[in-house]
Order: sequence, then C-alpha cells, then structure tokens
Amino acid sequence: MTTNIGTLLEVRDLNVCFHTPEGIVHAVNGVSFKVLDGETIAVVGESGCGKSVCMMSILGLIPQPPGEITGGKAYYKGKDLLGLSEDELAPFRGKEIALVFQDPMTSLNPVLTLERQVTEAIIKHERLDKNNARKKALTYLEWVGIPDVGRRLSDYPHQFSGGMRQRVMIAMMLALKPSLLIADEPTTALDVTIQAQIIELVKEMKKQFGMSMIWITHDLGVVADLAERIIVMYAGTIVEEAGVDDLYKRTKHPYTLALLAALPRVDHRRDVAKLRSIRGSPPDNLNFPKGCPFAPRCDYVLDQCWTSKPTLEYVADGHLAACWVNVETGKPRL
Amino acid sequence: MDLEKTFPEGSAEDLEAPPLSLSKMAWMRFRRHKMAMFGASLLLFLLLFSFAGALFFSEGYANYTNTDIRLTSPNSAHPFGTDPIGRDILARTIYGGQISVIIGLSAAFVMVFVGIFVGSISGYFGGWIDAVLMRITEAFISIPRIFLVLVMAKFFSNKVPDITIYGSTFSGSVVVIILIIGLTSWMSLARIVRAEFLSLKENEFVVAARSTGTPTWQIIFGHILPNTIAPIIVAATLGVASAIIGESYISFLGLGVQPPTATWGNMLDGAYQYIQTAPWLWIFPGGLILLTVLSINFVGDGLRDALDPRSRLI
Repeated sequence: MTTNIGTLLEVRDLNVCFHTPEGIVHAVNGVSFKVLDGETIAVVGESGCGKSVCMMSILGLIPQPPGEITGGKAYYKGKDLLGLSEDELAPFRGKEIALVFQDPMTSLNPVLTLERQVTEAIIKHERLDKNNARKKALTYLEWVGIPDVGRRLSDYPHQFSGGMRQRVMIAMMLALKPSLLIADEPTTALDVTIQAQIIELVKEMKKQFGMSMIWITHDLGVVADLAERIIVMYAGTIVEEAGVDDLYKRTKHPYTLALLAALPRVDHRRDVAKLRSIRGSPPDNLNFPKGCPFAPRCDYVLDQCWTSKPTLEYVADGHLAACWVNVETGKPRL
Repeated sequence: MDLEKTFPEGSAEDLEAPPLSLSKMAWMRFRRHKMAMFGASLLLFLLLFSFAGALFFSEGYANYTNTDIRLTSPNSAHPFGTDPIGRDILARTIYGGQISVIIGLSAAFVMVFVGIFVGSISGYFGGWIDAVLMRITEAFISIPRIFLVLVMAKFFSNKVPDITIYGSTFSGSVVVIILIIGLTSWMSLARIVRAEFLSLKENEFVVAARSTGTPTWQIIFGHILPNTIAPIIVAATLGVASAIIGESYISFLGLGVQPPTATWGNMLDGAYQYIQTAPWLWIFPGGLILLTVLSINFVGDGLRDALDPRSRLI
C-alpha cells in the first residue's frame, strides 16, 4: 500500500487497548488522520481521551503488556511502523520522529549531566565522535536560548529551571533533525510566561527547520496560531477535524463548542460571565455507552444519539465531524 | 560619585558559588559524619599496615618455620609472638591482611556484579524473566548459607591450581573462596536493585530515552543503573565486611584458604587449642578482623547517609 505524495504520516483505523484487572480499557478506537510534509496539526481533548496513547503507540512506546495495539496501520513515509520490532523502530525514534514530553522536570535523567544526555542520541544517530557531537549540541542549545552554554554542559538537570529544561529537551530533539516532531503537552507543566516563550521558540523552529509537527494539548487557546489543522478527540475517537479557522469559527461538533466555551477570555468581565465547564465527566473507558460517547454531556442530544454512534464524515469542505446534529439549527443532519 | 569602587570586581554570576555535583555533595556530607571519618581513617591505617608492612617482611619470612622458637610470647624480635611452628605472627598478620582484604574486595565485586545483573534484568523486563530470576534468588536465600558455603568449599578445594600474580603466589583456594562468598551473597543486593528498577523504569526519562532510539541495554546500564548507585555502593561496602568475616569462618573451619598462605581466618584455625596458654595467637588476627569489619561498617553507615538523596544537608 502506498500513500499520497506529500503525506508524511498516515494513521489508519488505530485501535489501542489496555488490559487492566478491572477489564479492557479501550483507549483509542479507530483513529485515522494524516500529517502532510511541513504541516502542523494539533490534537486537542480532555485528559484520558487517548491523544497521548495514540501518538505513543505510533512509536511503540506504550507499555506492552498491559497495552495492546489491536488494529490499524501507521504509515510513515510509506512504511508501516506498527508491525515493527523494538530494534526495527530504533532508527525511527528521534531521528525521524521525535517526542517532546509534558513534564521537563521528569523527562531528563537526574543523575546524568546535560552533555551526556544531549550528545548520546547525536552520537548514536549521526555517528559523530564525542567532540563533534558536543559542538553540535552546543549549537542547538545556544539556538534554543540556554545562556552560557559552554559552562553549563557539565551541569545536572536539577540546576536548570523548568523552562530551561524544556528548551534542553527541544534542543535535544532538534539536533537529530527529525521530519516529525510530536510535542506532548510541552507547555502544560510550565507557567504562562514561560509557556509563551516556548511557543515562540517552537514557531521560530518551524520557520527555520520546516519539520512537520503534532502538538498534543488540552488547551484550544494555545494552538490557535500554531497549528494549521486541529483534531479534536473524545473518548478515544476523533470527533472533529478541520482547519484552524473553520474549527474556531464554523464549529460543527457540540464537544468542540463546549471546549471553546470553557476557554477563559481576556475580554470577559468577571461579574458578567462565569468560567464555563462541561457538565458531567468523560465516559468510563471500560464500558462505553451504546450510542455517541458524548451524548450524556451534550446540549444538542437527540434520540438517535443514545442508540447509534455517529461516524466521522465530511460536513463541509475539508471539515470532518462525527455528530448526528447540525449544531447551527439543532436539528438532525440529513 | 564614584560608586564603582564600592562594588567588588566582576558580575553577579562570578560571585555565585559553583554548582555542586552529586559526588561533591556526598563527599561534603560524608566528611561531617564523625564515625564514618573515624572508620575511614582506621581503615586506611589497616590497609597501610597490610600493604606497606609487606615492605618490611618478605612472604618467605612470613611462612618460615622454626620450631626452636615455637609459641614464644610477644618480644622485641617477634612483636606479636610466634605460632605453634615458630612462624612470626606479625609478618603473618601483614600477609594475611592482604589476602583478607583482596578476598573481601573481590568477593564484594562478584556479589555486586551478579546482584546488579540479576536485579536490573529482573526489574526492567518484569514478566516471566522476573518470575524466574526471583525464584532462583529465593532458592539461594532459603538454603542456609553456611551449608552452601561449606559444601562448595569442600567440593571445589584443591581443584584450582595456585596462581602467581606480580611475583607472589596465591593458593588456588583464594579464588575458590572469592567465588563461593561472592556467589552466595548477591541475593539481597539483587532484590534492592530490582526494587529500584521497578520504580525507576516508570519514570518519564526512561520513555524519553527510548523515544530517541536508545538501545535497551544502554537504558538499563547507562540510564537507570546510575540512579541506583547509592544503595549499591552502600551494599558493596558492607559486602566487603561480610566477605572478610565469611572468609574467616570458612578458613577457621579449615575449609578455606590453605596454609602456608596466611589469612586472618586460617590463623585463628588451631589457635583455639591455645586460647589460654598463648592468647597472642588469636588476639592479633581476631582483633584485626574486628577492627577492619567495624571500620568498614562505619564507612558504610556514613555512605548511606551521605548518598541519601532525601537528605538535603550539606
């Protein structure tokens, strides 16, 4: 099977579940999406909606067991990554697809120096000797804005602040020149000003290195001017996928609408508008309801929502949604 | 206004204390531990006694028998007295000390090596590998160590030829004792390492290392193992002490290192016949064992406190 030219990653019908003592947890249920060359997509959803698991399974990084990829394909440059063994995946990890993790406080090894951690992957993938790897590491650490890099290479992670550590992680991944960078909530653990700095850094990075990017987040506000396309996930499935403008201005799914309504806004006066939340909680992944998983929390719910699950369909040009309702009229879509 | 002169030269960063590495911090804490420093000094003295002492007495002299002067009490010619066949006890404690220390260190090395290997493999991979390795570990624990040691010592003695390193000949039984002690003492370390691995492998930095394509063996030994170094160092230190004691009791029972090679343990063998009549036969080697083990244990205690990551004292 081949994929279209210009498609970097194509995931088809990915299913991932976890075997737990309570039963089988269906974390990802039939997720399909594409990432084009040089494109940035954002994956948005509540905690536990399967966004991280989905990306981790592509690189074989979910613990197996208890995790299990029960179906699907993930074509990267035309090659299915899901069928590969740990050894076969190693050349893809970091070199082709790099990951930046959520919490920079725990994703660096506390007992190894910065130099050791940053150069290790460079030495392995680029086949450089220690000295050249060090030079390369210095270049990228400087690029991400670590001050006084030369002197700090022999420091340990605890001597850096959270924002600096995230910069280090980004430098580590950049040095490998991946074609696809997956950022798993890279700003969630940081405070707002540092978050803004990291986002600026990432934008600059995209401009200069032109890699594709998947930005996982639960904050629609963060990705508005970062991504070109946004995928909204709920309960392990994609509920809406559209270009940024379409998604924000011509929202088609009640869940996305609710997410947008929950965003705090600078122009809201405190006494007028209270911060809204989505009522209820995400469904128990152990046993999904029969119909639409969002039905119990949905403001637009119809009778058919309780009995059959909507599939992801084109509702407008380049705009996919999985919903029975036309949210503009509140009536069933034909 | 001439403000500049009121400030010291250099920027604020130059005034900042250089960051302490983990080992420097541990060393500072260790130095504050009085018992540990006492133990370390005593240990240094005992090592000097055994290794520098060899410059004053030859090994031939230590093994030289002269029945004319058998069982002489300490005097100016023989400061520690002589044994039942007229050998000089001072010279023998010096050479015996070397053997005891070598056995202690090597056996601890064997113990650490096996313990780390079993513990890290077991903890990292889990599943059936863990189950098999842990059942083997439990089997080793449930056999009373003394029986295992004695049977192995009896079985393997005289099967290893003598070896010569740097001009001095070691009885082959030394190697046997090292292996026996090392191979019967790794279990608790393996369990410690396994427990550390079980919790450390869940850390995000392990997934981060995997996500850059780091090979599994490098994740185990290059990324996770350095995080467990503190308990390993402590266990290894205490392992040296228990290996020295282990050697003593095997040799005391006559199954350990064979004469004429002296060890503190086999010097005690036979001394029990003269407990009252010639106490210098056991006081000196026995006292040296006591002091060595005591000082190593003090050092181990100090290391345990110095390397404790929860201790934020400097």
